[in-house]
Amino acid sequence: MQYIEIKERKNTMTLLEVNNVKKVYSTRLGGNKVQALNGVTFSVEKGEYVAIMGESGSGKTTLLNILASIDRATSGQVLLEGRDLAAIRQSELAAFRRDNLGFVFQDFNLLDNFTIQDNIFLPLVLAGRPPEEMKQRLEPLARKLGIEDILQKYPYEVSGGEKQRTATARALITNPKIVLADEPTGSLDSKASSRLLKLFAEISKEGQTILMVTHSINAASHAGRVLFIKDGCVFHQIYRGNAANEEMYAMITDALTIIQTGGMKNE
Amino acid sequence: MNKLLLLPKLSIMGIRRNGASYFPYILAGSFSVFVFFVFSSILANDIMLTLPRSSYALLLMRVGQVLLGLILLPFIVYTNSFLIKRRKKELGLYSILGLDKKHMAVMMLWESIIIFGAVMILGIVFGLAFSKLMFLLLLNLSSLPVSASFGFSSVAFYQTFLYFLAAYGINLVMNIIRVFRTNPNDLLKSPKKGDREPKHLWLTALSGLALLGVGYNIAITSKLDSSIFLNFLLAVSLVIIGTHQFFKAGLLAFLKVLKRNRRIYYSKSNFVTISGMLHRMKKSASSLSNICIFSTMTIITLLCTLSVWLGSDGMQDFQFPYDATVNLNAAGFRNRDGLNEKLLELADSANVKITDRIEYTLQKLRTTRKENVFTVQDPESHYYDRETIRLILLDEYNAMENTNATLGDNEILIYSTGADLGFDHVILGTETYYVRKELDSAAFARKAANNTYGREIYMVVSSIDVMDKLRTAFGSTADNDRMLTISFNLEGQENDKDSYAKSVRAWCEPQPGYISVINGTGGRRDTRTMNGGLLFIGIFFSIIFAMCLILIMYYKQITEGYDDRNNFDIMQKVGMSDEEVRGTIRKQILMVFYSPLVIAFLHTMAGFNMTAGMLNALQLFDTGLIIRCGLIVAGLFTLLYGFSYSFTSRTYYRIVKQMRTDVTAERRIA
Repeated sequence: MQYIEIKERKNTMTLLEVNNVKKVYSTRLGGNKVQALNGVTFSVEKGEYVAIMGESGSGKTTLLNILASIDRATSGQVLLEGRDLAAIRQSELAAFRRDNLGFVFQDFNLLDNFTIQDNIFLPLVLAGRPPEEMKQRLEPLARKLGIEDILQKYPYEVSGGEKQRTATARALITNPKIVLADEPTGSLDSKASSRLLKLFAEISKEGQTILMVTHSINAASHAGRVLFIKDGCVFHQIYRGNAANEEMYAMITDALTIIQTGGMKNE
Repeated sequence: MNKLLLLPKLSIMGIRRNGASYFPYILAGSFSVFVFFVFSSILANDIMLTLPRSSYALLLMRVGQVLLGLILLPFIVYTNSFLIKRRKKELGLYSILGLDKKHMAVMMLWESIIIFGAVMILGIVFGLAFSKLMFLLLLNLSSLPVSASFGFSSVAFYQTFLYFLAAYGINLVMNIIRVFRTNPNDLLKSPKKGDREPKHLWLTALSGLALLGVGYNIAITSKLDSSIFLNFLLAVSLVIIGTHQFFKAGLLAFLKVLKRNRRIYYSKSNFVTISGMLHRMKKSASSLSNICIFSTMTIITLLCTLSVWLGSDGMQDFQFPYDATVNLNAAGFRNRDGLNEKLLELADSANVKITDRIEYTLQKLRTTRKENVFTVQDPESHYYDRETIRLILLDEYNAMENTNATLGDNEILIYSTGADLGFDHVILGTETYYVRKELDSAAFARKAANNTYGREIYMVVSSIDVMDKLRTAFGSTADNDRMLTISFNLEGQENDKDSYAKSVRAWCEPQPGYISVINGTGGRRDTRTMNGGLLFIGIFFSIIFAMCLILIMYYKQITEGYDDRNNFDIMQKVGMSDEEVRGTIRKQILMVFYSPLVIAFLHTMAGFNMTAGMLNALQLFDTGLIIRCGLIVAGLFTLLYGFSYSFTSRTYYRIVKQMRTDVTAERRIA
């Protein structure tokens, strides 16, 4: 099995460090063990836009859950700004997530009992921010995401694209250290997808760190770097450099082809 | 697979897959069949007609059966509509897989047949097993002679079958209409859309409060008179509509006010709770109103049942203070010595002993009353203003009461069997009489301050001259003759007392001047029989109401469970801790679920006056007892409510957990 160690480091601050993370699932009786992650190592610099690609079952969702502190690694370390996620007490986890992480999910995960505006406010309210500040934060964000007109509507009254932009606003409003996106375009049509991806690119340009899990080549082609996961390991990675989206797209396609065939030869 | 077999198979699968909601539905249906069948069997039984004094119980059972029919039908239809709504998705899937609407209608038919069959079989089997027991219970409660021969009549089967065939037939028709009216696209859409707010929220809220207010007002101020049943129906309908309006809009409006205040709304502890409750209220207004109404019905039924049960002795004593009373025309009856001899002689042979004997002459005056002025009765006057005054002679009064009161010719003692009159003088015709004293009790009739309907006014006058003068003044027609009344208690066996009173009646009847013989022993037994019938019906109706209540509550919890499953997870991902999420959801559910209980207590309190009034009509005047019963019932009902809440909420948590087990299982490993 090929394993590419990343030596090259840019001269920026490391935000997220993932060191040899393993995850083993076992059935309740402890009989069958399934190795979901098999020593994943990589790091994310501040302001980077990283896409993680892999097929279904490659372990990318498990990885994201561990990064999101929803799940814990069996062994290895995840450090966010040098802080070990495993060392955070269960009771503080919710607050930790709220303060440091922003989430965008495939199925939006908006609450139907809140208006669009209140859905976006939710993390701020939980953090005990005053209403004036929430309003101030929301205004520029809503303009940027193009959702000013639907703020008083309910999630079931708006389109999928609008829902996902709402979810993005909710993720961004806390100024998180990192935005974790799980197949954010997975439930969107192509038009809504490209609008969202453009937005992600803009946000990234403004300095927001984004880590996106996807198996859409199109989505990944907008990222600054693409990591490929296969069988629980980081298998390969591509840096954008100065490449345009189209070139990036071609590079990803090539890499996927190699991984597919190479992987087959290996087994 | 054969298409003929596929559809029934799909129906069975449909029922089994939705077991969590269908089994309670079938169970409740079976219980309804059971109760209906028991009532039918008892009514259809010939023995009922041959039993002595069974007419009251029979009448009550008949009324009960009609009421039962009226209550069960909307209940069965309501629960069905809940169930079919939940299955939109499944039906949509079938239609996409190529089952056309005709087939789905056939599937619905099969389902209805299976459910109807199950419900009938279960209900009738239990009915057959327990009808006799229930019959014996009725006889026992009604103190009717326990008869062992209880047969089943085909009429009962027939009635039960037809009634439930109609009920489930309506359900089938409604399900088929639903299948035909929705297209697969609608069917597949998840039922996420919250019900919209009512259009005129504030108007609806205010009208709800207004209706409740008017209903309460009628209930609280209504007097016990001939219009009480009309008032009762009016108040009940107003309160039912008002309750629906209130739950639909009143609480929403209140929450909206809270929401409008940013400081209150956007705080950690209120944000999720207020919006969650708004969401919940929108979706559950009708179940909450129904829970509230069924709670009120259960409480009031139990209250009446318990009061009648515990107050039965008091009722009997009020109606029949003596074991026997002989009423004779004082002028027409000549054989007074003969009567006295006969009474003793008959007592000897019947093996009873006469005690507490009283004897008095009564002169009735038919008058029209205005405050303390009594004039000759005007046939045009409202019956409300008519009053019959009963005059009693002072020396007879003194003999009865063992007193030696004295009166002047223009003085009287006054005694009302209802509330005190409070007059210092009365004007009878043209003469003024001063009230020497208003009596608190008398040997010849019981008094209760809240006795309004059957209230009698007695006046004790100084001499027979005064009595005659008044009699002449108020017209001396034949039906205005003086009446001689002899009342006494008896010592001995219950049956001996009864037969003694009967033999006295048999002897008196042919005598000239005979008016009536009141058999207190038998009369009390009749009252017991009627109360027993009321009790029997009360018990069954309380159970039926409670069953409706619990089922609606259970279905509500299931719905909430499915709704909250997602919310649980999302809120956690957005940054609420497990405990916080659990805490807020528990708080919301508690508040939403206990609001009907609180409103039901308010309803009960508002309806107390009316309930007590109707119990008064049954001559149960012990308000203290009714209040005590109310408190006991309120306590018991709170327990029942809390119990069924915690019982049904277990289902809720099971549903919510179904989704979360994956996550927790992983945590356990980690």
